[in-house]
Amino acid sequence: MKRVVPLPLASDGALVRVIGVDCGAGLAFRLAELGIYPGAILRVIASRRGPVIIEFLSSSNPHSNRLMIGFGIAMKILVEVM
Amino acid sequence: MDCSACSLCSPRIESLAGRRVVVAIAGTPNVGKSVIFNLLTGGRAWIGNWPGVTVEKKVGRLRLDDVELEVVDLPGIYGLTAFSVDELIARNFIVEERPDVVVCIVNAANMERGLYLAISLLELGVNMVIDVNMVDVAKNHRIEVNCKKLEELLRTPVVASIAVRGEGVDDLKKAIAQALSEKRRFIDIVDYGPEVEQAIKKLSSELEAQMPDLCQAYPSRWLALKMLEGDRDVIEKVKRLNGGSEIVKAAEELKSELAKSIGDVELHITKCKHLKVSELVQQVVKRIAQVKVTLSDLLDIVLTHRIMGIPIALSIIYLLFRFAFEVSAPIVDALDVFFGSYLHDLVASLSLPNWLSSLLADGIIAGVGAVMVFLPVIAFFFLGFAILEDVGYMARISFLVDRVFSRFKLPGKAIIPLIVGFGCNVPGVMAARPIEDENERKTAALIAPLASCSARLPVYLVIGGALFGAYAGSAVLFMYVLGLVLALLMGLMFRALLFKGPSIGFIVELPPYLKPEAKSIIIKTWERTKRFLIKAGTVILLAMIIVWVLSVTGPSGYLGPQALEDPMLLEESWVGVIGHGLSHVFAPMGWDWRSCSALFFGFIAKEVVVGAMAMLYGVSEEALSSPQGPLAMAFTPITALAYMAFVLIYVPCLATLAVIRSELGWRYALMAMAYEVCLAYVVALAITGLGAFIVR
Repeated sequence: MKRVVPLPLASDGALVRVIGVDCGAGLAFRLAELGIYPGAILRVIASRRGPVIIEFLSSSNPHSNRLMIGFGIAMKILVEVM
Repeated sequence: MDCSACSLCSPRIESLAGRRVVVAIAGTPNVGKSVIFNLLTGGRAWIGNWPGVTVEKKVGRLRLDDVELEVVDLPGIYGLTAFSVDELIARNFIVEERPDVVVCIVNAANMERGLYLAISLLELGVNMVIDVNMVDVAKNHRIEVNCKKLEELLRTPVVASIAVRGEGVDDLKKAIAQALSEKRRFIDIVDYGPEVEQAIKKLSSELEAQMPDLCQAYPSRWLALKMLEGDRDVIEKVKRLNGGSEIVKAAEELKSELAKSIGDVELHITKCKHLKVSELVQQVVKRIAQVKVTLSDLLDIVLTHRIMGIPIALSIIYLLFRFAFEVSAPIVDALDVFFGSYLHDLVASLSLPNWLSSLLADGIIAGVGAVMVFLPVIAFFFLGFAILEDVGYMARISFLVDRVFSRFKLPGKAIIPLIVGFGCNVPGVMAARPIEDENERKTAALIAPLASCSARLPVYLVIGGALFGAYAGSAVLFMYVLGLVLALLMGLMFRALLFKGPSIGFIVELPPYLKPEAKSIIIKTWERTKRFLIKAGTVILLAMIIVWVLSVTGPSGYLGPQALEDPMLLEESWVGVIGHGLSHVFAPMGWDWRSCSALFFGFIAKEVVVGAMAMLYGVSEEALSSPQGPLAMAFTPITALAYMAFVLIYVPCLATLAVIRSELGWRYALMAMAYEVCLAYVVALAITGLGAFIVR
């Protein structure tokens, strides 16, 4: 069963697929520029039920391509836990 | 070498002589832009302000084949859409000023991020040079970047570098010269699929027909693309011109048409760009081996741990303070001797007129000297801070505190201005710049002065030493905690009343832990410390002259330098008058007129409070802190604690006010002053009242 949750609720180490971003066009575009767009696959590195650290699975060097997303924004990112 | 043999000096670059040639340095945050800027310009930069916003602009010069280039260091950006003030500056500079060459610096260990920006710049038709930096770090990650291949694929000069070691700078200079002599463009690097491409074609041909001038300045393809993206800036530009409204309308129609087949157009565009980037990365990046778990991962398990994280952070910050104070101690002592004895005596021994000798020795040397002794503490504080920052730990601290800070409607990043503020509030206020949200940025800048800067410490130490004996340390610690707590509470208040709006929080890149490099650290330390030096040389120098003048003159006229020696005479001076006036205001707290007039001078710079007290009580600074000294007589422990809290909170120093003005404007500078004075009075009164209640 697929489980769709806001990003901060995914557990550490989980692989997630971005379903959508629930916010204004400006922020959605910025997130897309950074690589968070519907369909993108991310790995949750650390989630404190607040801010979240993610990395991009598609990246050539996921390790150094990590983003730290504050609680406010992270809650707007809906992901499907894979 | 024979100059004609060198292919670099093509006739074109020589023809640039006499014209202003601008090279901009762009890149994502933390890729070493400043290091490369310093390498190119030899570290000789001057600071100006960006037009429109008063945020600092760093410009330097580079000589290439007899042509003098102006090199501009831009704030970090991820793409050409602006989200924070920093990013807006970078975007506007590239889009509006059209520099002759843009050096796009890319992190070799994170090619995706950098190439996304590079592609965005190519689409704009920017004359670009790509510098693949930190190839050594990439190597550690078992990654190799094929720069030759990248150069072919992007049709743009590409060089590799390890900036912190100065490797690759000559190649970069050559590439800049090459780019200046033969401009290359590759604006249609990304294929957006048949539907979008058709729309772009339609829109751009219309643009070309109707507004040839605009299409002269920008590639019509880029304009069309940005209009489809809904870029407000470009739409405004088109709208302003004749026939603009029709084109904007046509673009909107095309957009809704496209939405039917491909969905959200903006997302489609960024997705195509990301796909192009992935394709490029696959062609140029070679993985030598897969790294499973790195040291960085292991460190993060501990340093960002949900329970251990915060205590570790506190210990590290504490160590930072200890480092700053302990390591600098011998230098502080040496400076103290130099200013306090050597220079003072030297001036006194010169046969100068009495007043001049006093102005120099008692006013300027004593005053500026009292401030200069903090220089080593501040320098070492910023040195330690730069190391933590370069290692990558500061980003983790914002992560750790984000949850706590979000309760006060502040982003985790707002911790950085406060920590920098512990060193000196001036760079602290400026450290709020990278905060994306305008409301959050303003709040963070306004509360940064509540961080107890190192200039306030001597005030605590002197009063603490005189009144709290063995508990002096706790009293000092209380001040630091009080400052932080008040900063958070005021932050919440500002966000609830003044800078309303949801807390959107932040997104930042989290770099892996890196070995710090001396060059980068020295540059950062110097840049922050420099501000303090400038402040000591200007504001405080002036302030000390004013203090001296007000001390040797009074309502009855000139009193002469002996007023400084004779407390009775000093009471007759303007300083005495001001102090007596203020002591009425502070009557509920029970402070005497001398400490009140010291507060007046502390407005100029908090460091001055101690010097002013020493002068007013007519004793040396050492005698001041003794438990049998005049302070022990003038204060009770409760009034002393209230006084320390007042010193912590009331008005940031002049230099901090000046920087708030330049960052946020006059209104906010005045507001900062007003709120801090009120807050300080309330807190001091509360301490006095509570203390009296408890003691009773």
